[in-house]
Amino acid sequence: MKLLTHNMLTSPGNARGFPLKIEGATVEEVETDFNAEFISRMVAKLEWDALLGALQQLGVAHQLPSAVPDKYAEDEAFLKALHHVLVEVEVMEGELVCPETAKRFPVKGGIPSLI
Amino acid sequence: MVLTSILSLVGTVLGTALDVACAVPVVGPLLKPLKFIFGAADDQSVTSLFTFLWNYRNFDFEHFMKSHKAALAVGQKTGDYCTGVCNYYEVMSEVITLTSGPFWHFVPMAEGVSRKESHDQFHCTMVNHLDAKPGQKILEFGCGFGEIGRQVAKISGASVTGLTMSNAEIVGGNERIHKAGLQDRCVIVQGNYHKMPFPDASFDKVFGVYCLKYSADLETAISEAARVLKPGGRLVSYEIIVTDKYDPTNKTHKYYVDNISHSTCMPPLWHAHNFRDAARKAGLVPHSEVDLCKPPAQPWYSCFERTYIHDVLSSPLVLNAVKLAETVRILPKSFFEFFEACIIHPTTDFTNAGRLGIVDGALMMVWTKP
Repeated sequence: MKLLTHNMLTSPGNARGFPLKIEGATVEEVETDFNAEFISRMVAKLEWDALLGALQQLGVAHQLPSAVPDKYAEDEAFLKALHHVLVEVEVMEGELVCPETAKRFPVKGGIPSLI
Repeated sequence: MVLTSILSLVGTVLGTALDVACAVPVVGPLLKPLKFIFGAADDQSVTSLFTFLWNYRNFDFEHFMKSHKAALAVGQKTGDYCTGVCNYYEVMSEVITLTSGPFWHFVPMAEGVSRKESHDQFHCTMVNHLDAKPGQKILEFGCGFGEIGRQVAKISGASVTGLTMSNAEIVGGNERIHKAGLQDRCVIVQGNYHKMPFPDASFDKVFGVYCLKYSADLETAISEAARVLKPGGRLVSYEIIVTDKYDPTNKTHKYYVDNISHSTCMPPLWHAHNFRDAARKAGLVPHSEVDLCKPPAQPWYSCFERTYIHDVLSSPLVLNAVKLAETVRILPKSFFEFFEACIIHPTTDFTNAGRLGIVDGALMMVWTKP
């Protein structure tokens, strides 16, 4: 599960089930080609605080600012740092926990199960 | 595996040679049945049938049929078909892929156009109906192995998230995303489309192909699709439905339509007005509704007619041969029951119901969210 995926997942059937907390995670880092245009387009679709929260829970070091910079589309260092955390950090095993009900959902082999 | 590959390769080579021979006047039409016999393993041909028999010669069909029937009974009693759908696709995802390739639904076909080309054309049609654009976030619910989602992503440049319940499809679907090199734009997560694991207004477009037929609660399913859609977004549904001609008091009609539902463990097929009503209740606005298989396209079930697979599977000779093979233990226990319920019935009932005009397999409906 990439953090790009985690950023759009919520506890099913619960309007306040976002963001899901990540616990007991095994993380792998996989190098992927950098596509500035793609990452730049994703910025507006991200829940920024949820992304920073996930990084903190995983203990993944990063160089992201606490808020999205104004001229992010031209900021290559920012886009590269974001590319790394969004698509290169992969949660292989662990659990997603609903912030409202504490219901737990497994991540197995990198695939989240929200049933 | 090796035998399957050889069968498939031989099938492809002979198939191409026969394509050329079939174009010859007078002799050509006589060769057409041969073309079917040597068809590719994943193209609903006799080669598919043998490939399937070989691959599943040791499979525990007794266990599968037991759980299939038990889950169907639960579905009919409670209206919850989830267990049955998961059980069905745990096995059938691979069976369908083996015999039909990555294409699990009916699409418009035309004389001289291959099944693969017809599906490629359908993917472009789907992109057009979605009005999919680069950078958009699209959800495909009930995605199976996610073939249509990957094609939509490839053609349009959009990002596609797939949602399915089946364990086999989640694993197989994500493997296929990696193989296609689309892991930065495509992902499949496990969830139920009646209770989607996404926040409100999170997708630009949402679509489902041949999956709402598994819902016994269309209103909840469509309201969930509408909830995760952004205002201004589109919901596209391509489905198989019963038509105005379907008369549930007619025994023949009911026989075909019931069999279609029972063989794939789903509730009775919906009528188009059920979709329209559910979408209106979910606050969606009708955008367009089109039957893709209106002439000059061939009927939606024509893939089963053009390869003669419908005639082969409904022949008493094949039925009795399979029955005999099980009796003398060449084929595993309960094979015949599975063969009849999950292979013969869908093929023959789709075709027969299609010929009567009581089922339509090519309805494309589009709504927008105000």
